[in-house]
Amino acid sequence: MLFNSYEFIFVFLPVTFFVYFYLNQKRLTKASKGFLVFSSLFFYSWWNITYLPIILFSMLFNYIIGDTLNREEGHHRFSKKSILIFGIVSNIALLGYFKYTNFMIDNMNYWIFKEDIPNINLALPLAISFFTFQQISYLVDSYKEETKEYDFFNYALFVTFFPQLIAGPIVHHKEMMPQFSKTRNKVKNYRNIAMGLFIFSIGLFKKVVIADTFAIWATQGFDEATTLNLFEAWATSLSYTFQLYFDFSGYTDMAIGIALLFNIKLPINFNSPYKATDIQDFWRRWHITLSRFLKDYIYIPLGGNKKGEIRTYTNLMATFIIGGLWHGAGWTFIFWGFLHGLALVIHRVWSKLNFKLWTWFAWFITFNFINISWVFFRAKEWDDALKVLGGMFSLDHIILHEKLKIILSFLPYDGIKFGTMFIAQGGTLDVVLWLIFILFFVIFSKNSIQLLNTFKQNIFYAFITALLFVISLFDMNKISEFLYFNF
Amino acid sequence: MKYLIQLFIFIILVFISFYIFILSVDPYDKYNFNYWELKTKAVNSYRDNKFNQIDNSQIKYDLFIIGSSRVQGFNPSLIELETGLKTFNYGVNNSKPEDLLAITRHIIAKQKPKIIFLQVDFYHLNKSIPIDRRLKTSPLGKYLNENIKASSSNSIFYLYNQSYLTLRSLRDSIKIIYKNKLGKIETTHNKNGMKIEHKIPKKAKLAKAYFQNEYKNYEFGKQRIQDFIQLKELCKKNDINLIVSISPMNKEHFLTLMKNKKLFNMLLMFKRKIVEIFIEVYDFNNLGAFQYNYPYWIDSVHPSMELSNIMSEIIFDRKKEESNIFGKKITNDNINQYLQDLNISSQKLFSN
Repeated sequence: MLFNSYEFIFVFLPVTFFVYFYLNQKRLTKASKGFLVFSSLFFYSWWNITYLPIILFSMLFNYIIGDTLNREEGHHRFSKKSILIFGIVSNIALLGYFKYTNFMIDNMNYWIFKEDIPNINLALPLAISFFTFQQISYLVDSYKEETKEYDFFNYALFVTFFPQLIAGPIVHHKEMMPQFSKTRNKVKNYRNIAMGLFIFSIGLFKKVVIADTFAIWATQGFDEATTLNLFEAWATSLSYTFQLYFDFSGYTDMAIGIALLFNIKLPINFNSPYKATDIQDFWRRWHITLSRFLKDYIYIPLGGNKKGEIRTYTNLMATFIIGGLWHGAGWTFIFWGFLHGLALVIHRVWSKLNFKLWTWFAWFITFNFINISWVFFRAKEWDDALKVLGGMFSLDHIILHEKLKIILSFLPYDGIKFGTMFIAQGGTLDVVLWLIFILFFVIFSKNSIQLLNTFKQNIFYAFITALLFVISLFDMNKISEFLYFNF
Repeated sequence: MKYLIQLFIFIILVFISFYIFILSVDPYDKYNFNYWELKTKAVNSYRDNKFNQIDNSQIKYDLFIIGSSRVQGFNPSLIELETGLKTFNYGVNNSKPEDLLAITRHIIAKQKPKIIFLQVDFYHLNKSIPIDRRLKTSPLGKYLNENIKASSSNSIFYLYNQSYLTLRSLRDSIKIIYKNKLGKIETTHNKNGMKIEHKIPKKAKLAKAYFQNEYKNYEFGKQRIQDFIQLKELCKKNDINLIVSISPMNKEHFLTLMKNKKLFNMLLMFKRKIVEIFIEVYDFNNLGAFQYNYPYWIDSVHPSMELSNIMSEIIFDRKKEESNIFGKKITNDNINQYLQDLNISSQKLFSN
């Protein structure tokens, strides 16, 4: 079920909300938790019920392993470390089987066998990357004795809680379990409801109005156009840059808003990432909960920055290549991770030289690097990425608007023609207006979490919330999935 | 709690305001409201622009191309080279026999062409597609048949027969108001009616919407057949050479259509009916079209300019005539054999 669907907004969410608090009001706290787990699994199964056994199995397996790790050393036949390794390897094997098998087969076909071993007919279970990472972190923390003995209901709720189940934020048991247990969270909190509806409406607007508008232009450029000229290529890459941000941050805002209705505070995932003035700053602002996971469970265990400069650089590269691979089974994702790892290494070296760039110049370089690297992230094949990048840096076949002919006809360069601009985007100049407006918006305006922090229960906020919600509602006839559902 | 009540009231108020505004504009003429006294409700002014161009044209055109969006790729300049006749592309999106007849009347009222090239589409004779009621209020309205002018409000433009609870209808309402009260006319095509350049996608997508709308409940409409007969008679009366072709579809579209046996039979019957009406027809809707892939299609039914150029060469450059199954000339004499061959070869392809 999608957050941006009528059945979710008008049926699933209100029913779950009222039944959950009704059960709590009747002091049936176990039943209310059970109901929330059931609702979450129903929400998950709405897409395809065949995925349900996989998440149930994964949850049960990790709960047993976590429970074993929570017991004292002498209580089991194997050492805690070997149990942990078994748990992690099993999780990675499950993820690897569903997500990377065909990628491996394709590569073996290409590099080793030089023949055509057929792919396995496997559908990627929804949210597997998210719930696997979340549970690996639980196992590691159990090993470190940082978890308590939770009952299965609590654990199941931590994994399946529907606002964050499909695409995060990747939550930590420490920030979720205590919230589920607090008595005061079991009664309706009108301020939380008001705040939740406010940020949900912002997220819904970001997704259905902004992201889905840019999606059209990005798809036309990446998937449909055969060639792109300079302006079309930049319009394509920037459209995707904004689509991805508004799609994923919109989803996160909705998740935070829905969780607030249930008095649960989810961690923030985005903090104006396109305002970043260096690549390290970007990763402190973009998909914050994934960055946290990669840092705590990959970078630091690899040695972090404690084992010398060269090892630090290697660790950074390894972490980001794994991050790239986590997003998708493809060389373009790996290359995207490699680019970001490399940028972080360069940033680290640069920082040691103590040069300071003018802030706007630093922002310009950072933003453009991110924009260019997203091209690899989005492209289905290398050729698509090269087509877009080729257009972005080619001065051949530049087409300027016909009206500029009178002013600019003196230009001596043969590559410039006058005619319809942005043919790849349907010949509309709307794309330019949207890009300029949204660029200014992401640079100068407050982000949704900052807006949430200034939220007041007054007429102004009620009107803004209503306006955003109704506009989004009017635009929901074109149902579209969230991009991060694919990862 | 007080805030939540305020919020709820605002949601209702904003919702109702939007809806009332859309209803007052009634952008798709669903309810025949015209509170703002608007001259036109055409959001895409393509049709109106071409009408105005011909209505006010000082240029004399000898050849007109008429048809739906599928003729937009025909290049008048190339046809001029092939025929030596001044050519105008009067193709309008989503046209049907009733407005093709009105367009022909308009052409004859304003110009004295030697040739009209009409391309018909499979969906043209489908009775189940309602009449576009916006035609009545469009400049073309006065050239429509009387029965359409007097048609009741029960007929609804099918493409826009959707809820007014959409941002698109809100956006279109604002656009319509802007265009009528403040705006300028958009440029949609070149002076000779040729569509402004377009990009050709790497892979032509299957135009699925045709199976959901245009081909739905396919049944021959008597009035639509009658409109084509009238169009032919009108040309004959005015000594205009009427050239007719059937538009192509790519392999994927053709095979998808074949999955529905009834629909495929209708396609064969459609060809027979078109030959019955027009006597001599160039058929591009056959297996000959399958040799063309990239860059010959915009989608599975819209030929690109490249393919349209080939088609116009087949029609207007006599040297290439009869050279290919693609654009085969069919008449009452060869229709039986032709349909039999087409059926056999299509079935063979389908079973493979």
